[in-house]
Amino acid sequence: MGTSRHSFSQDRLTAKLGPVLLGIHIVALPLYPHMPLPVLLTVVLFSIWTLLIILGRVVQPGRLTMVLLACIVVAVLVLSFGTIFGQQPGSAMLLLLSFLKLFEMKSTRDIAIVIFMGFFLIASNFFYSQSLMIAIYVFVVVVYLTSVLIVFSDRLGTTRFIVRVQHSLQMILLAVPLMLILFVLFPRVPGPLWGLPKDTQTAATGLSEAMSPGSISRLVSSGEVAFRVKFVGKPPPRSERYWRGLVLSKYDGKTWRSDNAPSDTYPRLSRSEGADTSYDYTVMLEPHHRRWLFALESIVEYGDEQNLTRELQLLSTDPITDVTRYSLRSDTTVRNLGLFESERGKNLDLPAARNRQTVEFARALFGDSNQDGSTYVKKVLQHFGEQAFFYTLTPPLLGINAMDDFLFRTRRGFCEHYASAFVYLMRAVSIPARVVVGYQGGAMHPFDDYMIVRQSDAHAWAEVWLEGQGWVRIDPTAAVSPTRIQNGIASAGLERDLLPSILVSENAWFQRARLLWDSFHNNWNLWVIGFDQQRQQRLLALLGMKDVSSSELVIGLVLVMTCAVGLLAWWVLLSEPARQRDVVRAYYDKFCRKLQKAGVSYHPHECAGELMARASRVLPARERELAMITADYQCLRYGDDPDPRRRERFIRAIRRFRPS
Amino acid sequence: MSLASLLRFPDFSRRPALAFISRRSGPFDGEVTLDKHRVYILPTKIGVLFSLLLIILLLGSVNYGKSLGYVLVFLLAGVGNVAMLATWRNLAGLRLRAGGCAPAFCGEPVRFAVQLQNVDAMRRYSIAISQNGTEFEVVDVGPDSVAQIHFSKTSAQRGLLDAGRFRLSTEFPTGLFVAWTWIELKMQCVVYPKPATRARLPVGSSVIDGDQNRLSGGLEEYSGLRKFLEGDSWRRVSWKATARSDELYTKEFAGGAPELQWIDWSTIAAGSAEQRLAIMTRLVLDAEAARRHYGLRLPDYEIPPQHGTLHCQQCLKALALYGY
Repeated sequence: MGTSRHSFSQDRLTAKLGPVLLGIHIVALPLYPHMPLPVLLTVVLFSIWTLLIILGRVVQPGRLTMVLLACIVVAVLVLSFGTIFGQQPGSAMLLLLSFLKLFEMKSTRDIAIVIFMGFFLIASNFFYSQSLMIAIYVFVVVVYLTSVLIVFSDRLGTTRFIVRVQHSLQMILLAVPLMLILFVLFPRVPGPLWGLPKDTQTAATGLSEAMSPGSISRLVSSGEVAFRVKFVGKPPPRSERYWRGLVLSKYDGKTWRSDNAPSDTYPRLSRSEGADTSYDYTVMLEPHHRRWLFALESIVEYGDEQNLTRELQLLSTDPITDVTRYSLRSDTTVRNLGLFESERGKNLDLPAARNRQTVEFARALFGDSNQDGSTYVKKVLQHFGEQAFFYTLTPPLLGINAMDDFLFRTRRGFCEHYASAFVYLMRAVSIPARVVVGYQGGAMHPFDDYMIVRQSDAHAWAEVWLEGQGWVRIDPTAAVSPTRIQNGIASAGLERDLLPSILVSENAWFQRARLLWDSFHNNWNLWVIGFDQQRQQRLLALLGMKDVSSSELVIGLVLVMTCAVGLLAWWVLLSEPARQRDVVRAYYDKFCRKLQKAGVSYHPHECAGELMARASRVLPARERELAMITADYQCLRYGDDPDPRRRERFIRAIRRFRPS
Repeated sequence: MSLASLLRFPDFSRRPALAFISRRSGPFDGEVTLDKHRVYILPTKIGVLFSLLLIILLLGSVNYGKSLGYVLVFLLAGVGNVAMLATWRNLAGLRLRAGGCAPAFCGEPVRFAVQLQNVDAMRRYSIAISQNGTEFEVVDVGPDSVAQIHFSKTSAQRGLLDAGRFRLSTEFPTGLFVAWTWIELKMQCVVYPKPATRARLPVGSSVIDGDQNRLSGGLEEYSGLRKFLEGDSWRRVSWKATARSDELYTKEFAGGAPELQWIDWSTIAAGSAEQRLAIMTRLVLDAEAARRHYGLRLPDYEIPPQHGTLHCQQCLKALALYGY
C-alpha cells in the first residue's frame, strides 16, 4: 500500500519539525506555571536539542540514546514528584515523552502521534482551570494543531502558513455546530467511572484554614470572584449578607485555627417568631481546593452532597476543584442553641500567662456590666466605637502580647484584629466565643440577576454564646467602621490603592466592561462548566422535552447528528461548487451541450470556429444561426469591447437554439 | 479484511457484491467527472488512531467530570467529520481526460498522462496517482485550471498497451481519511518491438534505386572514410582500407542524393516473426542514426523511403502493430 504511508526523506521531515516543536510549546504553555523546576529545565534542554536537529547540527539520537533519555525522563519525574503516577506527573510525563517522540521522528505517523499527544496535554489543563480564557486558548491551540496536520497531508508543501490556518479555521468553524449538538445531547453520566486523582494543591486565592493578622487583609486587594449567588426572590439586605465559611475556635496567641475534632452531634436550632426571613439561593463557588462551603446563616436546608457540622459549617465531601453549584435555604432568624460541654471548654480556652492587661480590662468591664453577658458585649462594642480605634489595611506589627499591644497601644487593625480581640475579651470573662471567617457583603450585578461576592469581601467576625439566646453573631468591625458593613469595603475609608481596581475605578466604561465580562463568566459557569445531568434536563425542558431518559437521549443524539452531518455533507459536497461567474462561458457551454445532443461532440482542443465548421456539416440548416452565435462568442470572449447588446443577443440566441 | 486490502482494487470474481465498483470505474471514452458514485473514502491508520484518542479523552472527561473535556472531544469529533467531507471534496468533482502518452520500446516504461480539470474556484491539493500499489506522482490542481498527472507502465509485449485502471487518491487536508477512485480511461500507447542488440543487413537487401547511375557517374564527391555501421551498403565499403586494418570502412560521399535503403521483411533471415521485427527495429534505428533514407517493407504494408523523426516513428509504429 504505497500511498498511505509516506516515508519522507529524513532531512525533509526534520525541516518540518519546527511547527511541531512550536505546537508542543503552545500546548504546554498554560501547564508551565504548574511544573516543577527540573521538568522545566528538561523541557528547555530538549527544545534546544530539537532545534539543533532541525538546523541539521545534530543527527537524531539512536536507539541506545533513546533508552537513556527515557530513563532520564523517569528520573526527572521521580525527582520532582516522588512518583510517576498521578495527574501532575502524568501531564509532565506526556510533555517530556512528546519531545522524545520528536527526536525519533521517522514518518508522518509519528508527527500525527505527537499532535495527538498535544490534544491530551491540552486536556490536562482542565485539571487546573476550566475558565473561559482557557477555553479560548484551547480553541486557538486546536486551530493550530489542525493546521500542523495539514502540513503533513500537503505532500507538495505548497500551502502557506496563512492558508493552512484558514483551512483549519474553516473546518473547525464547521465543526462547531456538531460540537454543540453533541455537547447538549450527549448523556451525562454522574460520578467517576474509576478513582479520582488526589487533588493537587494549587495556589488559589481564598480563605485558609487559619487566621492570623494579615491573612484576611491580604485577600482584600484581590478583585477575584469568590462565588456568585442567585436568589429566588429578593436578596437579604446588605447588613445580613454574612457568608459563613469556617468556624475557628483554637487560639495559640497568634493564630486562630479550626477545631478539627469530629462531631457526631447535630446543631439544635430554634426559630424566632416573626416575619418570613428565609432565603432560597444557589451558590456557584469558584474552586478553592478546600472542602468548606459558604452559606448565609443559618442553614435550614441543604443537599445530599454536603454535610453540616454542629458549628453549622457546611462541608463538601470532596475538595472543591471545579466551579461547584449548590442550593440552600437559610433563615436569618434561626439560631443555634446547642453548646455541649466539650465545646464550652474549647470556646473558653486562652493561652496562659499572656495579655495580662487585656484580661484585667475585661474583668473590670464585666464587673461594670453586672456580670451580664449581653451588657458586657454592648460595653465592649461601645469601647471599640468610642475609643480611637482605626480600621486600616496596613496595621502595625504586634508583639508576643498581641491583644495588649492592639487594645492599648496600636489600636489600628483590620477585621481579623477586631474579631480576635473581641473573642479574647469574651473568653477572658468565661463567655464562650469563637471567630468566624467568611465573606461579608456582595453586590448585585447591575444588569444580570445574581450577586457577586469577591475575595475583597473576605471578613472575620465573632460569635458568642449567650444564655437563653444561643450563638449570637457579633461583628466588632461594625462598631469601628459601620460603613464597611452598610456599604461595602470600597466605602470603608481604606487605603484606596490597596483595593482592587474593579471596586475603586472611577471609569464607568471599565466598570461596565468588567461586569459584562463577569456576567458572561457566570453564564459560562452555569451552562458550560456546570453543565451536568440536571442542567441538561433543564435545558431540554426549556426546549419542551420533559424527563428525557438516557436511552431516549442517545436515540435523539444519533438522529440529530445524522441530520446535521447530512446537512453539512449536502452543503459541502453536493451544492453547486463555487464557480467563476463567467456568463458568456456558461452559455457557450450550454450551446455545446445542445450540439452534443444533436450529435456534434465537443472537443476541448477545438476552437470555436472549428466546432462551427463541423456543426455546419452535420446541421446545414442551422448554418446561419451557428455562424452568428460563434461570431458573437468570439467577439465577447476575445474582443476588447464588451457590448451588452451583443451579449443579450448571444444569450437569447443560445436559449432559442434548437438543433434538432 | 485489512485496511490495505480495502484500498486495493477488489478481486470481483471473489467478491461479487463489490462488482458495482467495477462497473463504475470505466473504461471511459473522453471526459469523466468524479461524481459521488466514484469517490470512495475510508479512515487511514492515523484516522483510526484519532478515533481511539477521542474515546480515551471522552472516558477521561466522564470520569473527571470536566465539561471542557467534553467540549474538546466533541469539537475534535466534529473536526473529524468535517475532515472526512473535506477530503472527499478534494477529489470529487474533478474531471479526467486521457492525456496522451510517449511511445516506448518493449521492456521500457510507458508514461501515460491524465488530464485533471478543476472547474471549481477552490484549489485541490496533493492528488496522487498509483497503479497496482505503486505511487507515481503527486500534483495540485489550481482553481479553474488543468493539471497533468503521469503514471508509467511497462509492457513485455510490442503492440498496443492499455493504460489500464489507475487509482487517484488524496489525504488532504488532515491525513485522517483517504479518498480515492478507480478509473480506467480509454487510452492506449504503442509499444515498439525491443530492438535486437545488433543486426546485419542481409546481402542484397539494400537496393540503390534509380539514383544508381548518378552514383556511378561520379556526380558525388568522395568526402572520407568512417567505420562501417550495421545497415551500411556493401557497395560503399572501402575494401582497400579494410584490408589495411582488420575493420570494415565505409566510403562517405557529399553533395549527392543520400543513399537509399530498403528494410525488407522478406530479406531478413530469422527464426520467428518477433525476432525478425526486432532486427528490423534495430535496422530502422541504425538507419535513422546514420541519417540515411530508408523504407520499410512488411508483408502487408510498405512505407516509402524517407528520413526524420516522424518517419522513424511511423516505421517503428508499423513494426509495433505488425499483425494487429
